[in-house]
Order: sequence, then C-alpha cells, then structure tokens
Amino acid sequence: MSDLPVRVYSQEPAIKRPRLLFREMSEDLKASKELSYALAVRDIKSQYRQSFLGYFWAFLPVLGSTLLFLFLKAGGAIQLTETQVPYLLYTMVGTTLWQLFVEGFNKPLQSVQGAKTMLTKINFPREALILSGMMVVGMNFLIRFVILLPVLIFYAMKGLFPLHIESLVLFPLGVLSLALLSLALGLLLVPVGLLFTDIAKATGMIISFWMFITPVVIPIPESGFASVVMRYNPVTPVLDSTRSWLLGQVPQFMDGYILTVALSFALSLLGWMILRITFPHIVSRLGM
Amino acid sequence: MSDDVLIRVDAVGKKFSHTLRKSLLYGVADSGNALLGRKAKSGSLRKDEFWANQDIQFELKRGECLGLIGHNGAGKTTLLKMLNGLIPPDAGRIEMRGRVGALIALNAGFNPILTGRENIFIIGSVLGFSRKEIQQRLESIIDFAEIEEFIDMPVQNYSSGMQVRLGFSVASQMDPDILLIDEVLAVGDLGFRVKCLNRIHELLQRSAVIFVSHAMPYVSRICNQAMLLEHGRMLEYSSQVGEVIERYHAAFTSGEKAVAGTGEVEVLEVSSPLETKSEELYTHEFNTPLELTVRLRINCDYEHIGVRINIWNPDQRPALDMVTRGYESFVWTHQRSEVTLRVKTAAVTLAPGKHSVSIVVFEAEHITVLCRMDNAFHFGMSSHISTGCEAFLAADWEISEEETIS
Repeated sequence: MSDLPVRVYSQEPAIKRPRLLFREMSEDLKASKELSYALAVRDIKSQYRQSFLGYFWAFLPVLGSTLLFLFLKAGGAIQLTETQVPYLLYTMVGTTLWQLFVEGFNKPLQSVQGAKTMLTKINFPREALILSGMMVVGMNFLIRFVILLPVLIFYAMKGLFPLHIESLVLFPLGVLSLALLSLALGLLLVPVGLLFTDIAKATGMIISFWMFITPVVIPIPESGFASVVMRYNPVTPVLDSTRSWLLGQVPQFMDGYILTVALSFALSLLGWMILRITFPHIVSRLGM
Repeated sequence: MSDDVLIRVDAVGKKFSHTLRKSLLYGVADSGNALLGRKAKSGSLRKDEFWANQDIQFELKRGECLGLIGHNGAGKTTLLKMLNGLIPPDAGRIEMRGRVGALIALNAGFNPILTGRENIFIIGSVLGFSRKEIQQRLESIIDFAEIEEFIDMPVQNYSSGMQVRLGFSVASQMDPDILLIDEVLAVGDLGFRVKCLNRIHELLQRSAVIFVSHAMPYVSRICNQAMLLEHGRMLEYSSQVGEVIERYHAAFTSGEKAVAGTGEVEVLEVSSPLETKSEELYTHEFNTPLELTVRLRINCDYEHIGVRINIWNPDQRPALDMVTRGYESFVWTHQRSEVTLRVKTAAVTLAPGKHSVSIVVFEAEHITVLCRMDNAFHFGMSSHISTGCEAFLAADWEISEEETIS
C-alpha cells in the first residue's frame, strides 16, 4: 500500500523542503488544468447570462475612454504629443491593452476572494483559481479585440497605418507579456489582500492614477518630469511595444521590454510560491 | 490490508483568536514565519488566543469509522479542516495516506444563475473529477439527487434542500481512501437521508471514515469508535461507542423541571423507592421493573382525573408511555386533595443513557391538561451493549437449517 499518496501537515515550514514544495506545486498545477477550465467557463457564462447587451459590456469602457479623450483633445482641453498613428487608433488600442493589464492585475485577488467559501470548505488545487481567472481575462481581451478588429481593418485599408507581417506576429507575444506582467503584480497582492480589504480599495485608486503615467491615451512627452516617470513605469515598455507591433511601428523600449518580461517571470514564480506557503495560514483566518 | 493506518494524528493543536483584528494580524505573522522558514512557537498562546484543538491524538485504519461528537464549538469542524489540509496545525503532526474526500454541505461552489447540470460539472471538477468522468456519472448523479425534472433550471430557483442534495450527489460519486463527513445527514428529507446512509455504508467498507454528527443514533449505527471533544480537547476516545455517547449526553446539564397546565394540580414530589440518597443519578438495573412514587395536590373538583407518565430518551425523544396493564390511562375518582401514586412497571429494557420522566395529569372526560411536569425525575440505564434504538426487545430465536438436496 506504499503507492498511496501521502500528505503531511505539520509546523515544519514547507520552504525548508524546497524539492517537496516544487514537486507539490507542479503536481497541483497539472491537477488544476481541467478545473481551471471548468471554472473559467462558469465565470464567462455567468458573467453575461444575466444581461441583454452581453459581451458588448466588455468593450464599453474602451469606447468610453476613447471618446472622452478624443473630445478633450479636439476641444483643446489637453495638449498631447503628436502620435505616429491616428490618435483614435492609438487610444483605442492603448485602452484595450490597458484594460487587459488592469483586469489581469485585479483578477487573482478577485478570483480568490470570490471563492472564499469554497476555500474554507473544499481542498482543491488553489492554482486553478488563478489560472481560471487569467483565462477569463484572456477571453475578455479576445472579445474586445474582435470588436476592435473592424476599426483596425478600416484604418489599414485607408492606409493610415502600415501593415508589417513581421511585426504583427510579435503582437500576440506582446499581449502574453502584458498579461504575465499583470499576473506577476496581481499575485503579490493576494495574500495580504485576502486578509485586509484595504488592498482592494487601494488598488482601485492606484489603477486610475497609474493609467496616466502609462502611455495609454497620453503619449510620452518629449521631456519633463512626467516623461521620466512614464519611462520608468514597468507597464510602459510592454504596453507600448505591443501596440507598436500591432500598428506596424518600431518599438521604442526594447531593453525595458526584455527586462520587464524577465522580471515578470521571476515575480510570478515568487508570487506563486508565496501564495502556496501562506495560503493555509490565511484560510485559517477566513472563518469557518 | 485491514491494518494499514491511513490517518495518523499526533498531538495536534490549533489556535484561534477571539478578536478579528488580532486574528488577522496573527495570520500575517504566521504567514511571515512560514515564508522565512521559521517555526512558530507552538506551546504558548498569544494575547486573545485560545486552543480550538489541543493534544488530539489518534490513528485510523481502513474500514474503521470514527465518530466525532461534542457540543457546538467543541472543535470538531476545526479538526476536520486540519485533516482535510485546509488549515495547518499549530502543534503536532498529521499524516494522511491516500485520496481524501469530504462530504460536506457542498453548495459552496454553486453558481446560482447557472443550471443544475452546469453546476454538476463545476462541483465535479472542484472535487477532482475529469470532464469525462463526470459525463459517465451524470446519470447516476441526477438519479441520486432525484431532481431530473429541474436539472436544467438555474440553481438559484432550487430550495436549499435541493441544492444540498445536488452537492451531496456529486460528492457521493467519490471513491476516496479517507472520507470526512460533516453533518450532512442534518439536511434533506427522510428518503434522502436513508440513501446517504446507504452510500456511506458502501464507502465504509474500503475507506477510513471520520463522521461528525449531533445525531447520536447515526453515530452508534455507523461508527466503531467515537471521540468526545470538549473545548478542543479529547474528553473521551474509545471503541465503546455507547459509553462515549453516554458521556456526551451526561455532559449536558440535567434539564430543569418545567411545569405547564392550568395549575389546578401540583406535582409535589417524584421519587423512586429504589434510589439511594447518596447517588447523584439513580441508575436503573436493566431488565428490572422501575418503581416511582408520585405525590400530587389537587385543587379542583373534577370527578375523574387521569395520569400518564412519559419517559424521554437521552436524545430528548419520547421513548415510552406508561399506562395500565390493560393499556389505558390510569384514571381515578377524585376524593382527597392529596394523593400518592405508587407505580411499578414491567421490566424496563431501555437503551443505555440518561432518561427523563414527565408527569401528565389531566381531567379524564375532556382530556384537559391540569398539570404537566417535564424533567420531573431522571434516571440512567445500565446496559452492556450499545444501540441506536430506544429500547431492546428480547425475543426467542430459533434456527432451522434446511437440508439441501445435492
């Protein structure tokens, strides 16, 4: 009967036995494949079943902020650096990507928070919650992108931005990098965010501020304080490069992009480990 | 195979905090220690802390079933959660061998606006089934839950009983080595409870089972050992399930006398000539007649007055109704204002445990209750074998072996 899986629960910190920790991590990741898919399907289905406009809601924020900034710019309320592609396109693609980042950043905490009652009652691979959350984020991005597609085709046919196949193929990679970055940052918030609601409240504020130091709707100014802040923002190189690849431009921040993606990998792994180790302790405090 | 130990629990303890703020901060501290690889001090309590579980120790083999009993808040669910790996112990060590399955109120993962069918797939995957496995079991899950009519309706339109049925049906498809059951039999109607019990019996053959329940008849029916928890500690742990249950019942303070009725009759005294003054609780010898003396004061002038004596079992269910040898209420013609009734019953074969006596005095023509006294008298029953039933019935048994023609 020695082939039975054995799990030991004690005070011995898991981190002291890294090999066992990594083995259990990869086991659970494998075990959570089907579950995360089922959970993602549940979330996507239920997200839109109770609404008439359905998937269109995913796109509304993009449309809203695009129109807002078009209006502000046209009215002369704000002065922006000239963009190489039409401003409408710049904003729409920018907001679509930004939306992906924001959702990816918020999702890990949201998804774990939403499964609180399940967490305190059932033992299932917790990785599935994070994975399913990211699948939902990906799905929402796809929906937005499909709605954005006619606009892109229209502009491309009018010759308002160049179509470069060699850069276009890099676009999906950019999208994945952006998602990875958002996951890396979002994961780190989960342990504390589960215990204290301050985190969830603060991220809302931080996000709205963050948008303005990222070239989403506002291109990076030539010089000045804002220019420096925007250049050091880790989202900038990833978001800007991804947009450049889609719109056939030469990305400006390749060094920053590579560095950020490498860091995102490391941080995601670290965040995952932290989550694994702290999770039982946190569930202890979530009540019965 | 019979002696492989699947659950090993060694000096396990768990600390919780009284206040939320402290609890959350300790959560952060524990997480920090775990990350830094530091072992937290296990022996001592921090401010506002208490032991929700302390010094829990047992082993369970395949085919054994441990009944975990105790008052609300005694630490049963906490222990179950540690065994399930949901929360870590703050002291001691737990070793679980094999697949662990938990039968609990499983409506936790339901999404209310999705249909029952869709939710089966979700809960199924949460419990570790693959999509294919669920597909194969779908029929039997729906059958078991008996909700085929409503299976494509959103779960939010289900009654809570139906939701629990659905959750349990999915969970019952598991075939674990270790099975944890928490109060599932408290919900659902009788038919469903019987089904669940049968399923648990099936699983019992090949798993080690921990069964948490407040329903003692089930505990004595299913379990072959029992543990009584109180304030997180093991008060009693034995394979004499009946004794542990008796201890559980005894731990409840004896019910206070409660009097109802018109007040036209007073019960002055209830006692037994068999009890000795030194005994705290009179223990009645199994299979002997019970004797009671009841003194009444009657402040009314109804012509016929009747009396019944009811005996309640340790679960507070009515067990016996004492009547005359002709199976009627005892009725007498009222003359004196003070009477003493002396009752001697047939041999009593009640199940072990603490029983209580109610006296009901009524006016015989209209059955108006003049006085009803509950918990008028208590007695324990002595016995050697345990039962989930209220009483034993002795019978003559005969066996005749048919000759088989070969």
